[in-house]
Amino acid sequence: MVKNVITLQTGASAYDAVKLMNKNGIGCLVAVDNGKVLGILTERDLLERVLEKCRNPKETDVSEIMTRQVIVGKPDMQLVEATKLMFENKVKKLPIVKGNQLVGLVTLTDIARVTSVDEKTIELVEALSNMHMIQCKHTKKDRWR
Amino acid sequence: MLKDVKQANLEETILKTTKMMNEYDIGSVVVTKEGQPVGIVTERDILKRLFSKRKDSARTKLHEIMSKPLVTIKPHITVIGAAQLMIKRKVKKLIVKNGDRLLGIVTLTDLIPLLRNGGSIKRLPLKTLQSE
Repeated sequence: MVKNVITLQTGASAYDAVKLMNKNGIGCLVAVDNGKVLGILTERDLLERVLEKCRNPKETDVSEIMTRQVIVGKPDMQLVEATKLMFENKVKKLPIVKGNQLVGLVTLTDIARVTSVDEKTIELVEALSNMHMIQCKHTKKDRWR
Repeated sequence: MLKDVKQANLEETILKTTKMMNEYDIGSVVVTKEGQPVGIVTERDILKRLFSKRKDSARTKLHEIMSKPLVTIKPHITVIGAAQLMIKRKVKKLIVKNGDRLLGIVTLTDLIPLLRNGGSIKRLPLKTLQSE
């Protein structure tokens, strides 16, 4: 699994998050503190919690709008289990956690890719799956709530 | 399988469309001009072309940010064919048309349970699967 760590400073705004998502062509960001998952922010969260409410994205902290109850998977989980977990919880992104550390991210798009092509491509896609994280660098004073 | 797709006129504002998308829990809206589909607006389009550019959602119209032309398919395409087309064209939603008639929308999320459910369902045409 290729790890692609994208970092944001503590107190990142919704605007910062959108810029990062657009730049990397991704639909969600996982907020972490020293590798521990704090929350997840999706495109839908931004539309519901910022745009529709006409909030200023530069003045809205990601911690105010992210979802803190995150559905996570384990690295040794079968694809079928991960798919079932996502559908049962109506989520399309599944952060993968080992111990209490974020180690990857699986999306429904990833699963669709590996189930609709031949075996050789499946191996290639699995080898190239990416992980996207927000790394929160904080001081003792600044902490995610 | 084929779900009714929400539509909006190309002169509609992004703010009003976003409210509709959130209300109906949908990720896209087909944009129409004189009743005919001319494009699509997705959550990604709104974030990429409006949000990040600090445009006013109450004043920006759908036609200013929509993706076009629409990627459309006919109802006889198979489940696996639809999935492969999505991957090839890098889209997660396909508009199903029969001639000029808009039949509905099929999304990647809709296809996944069918892709995993053994081999036979993959090869069924979309039109044979029950509409929701």
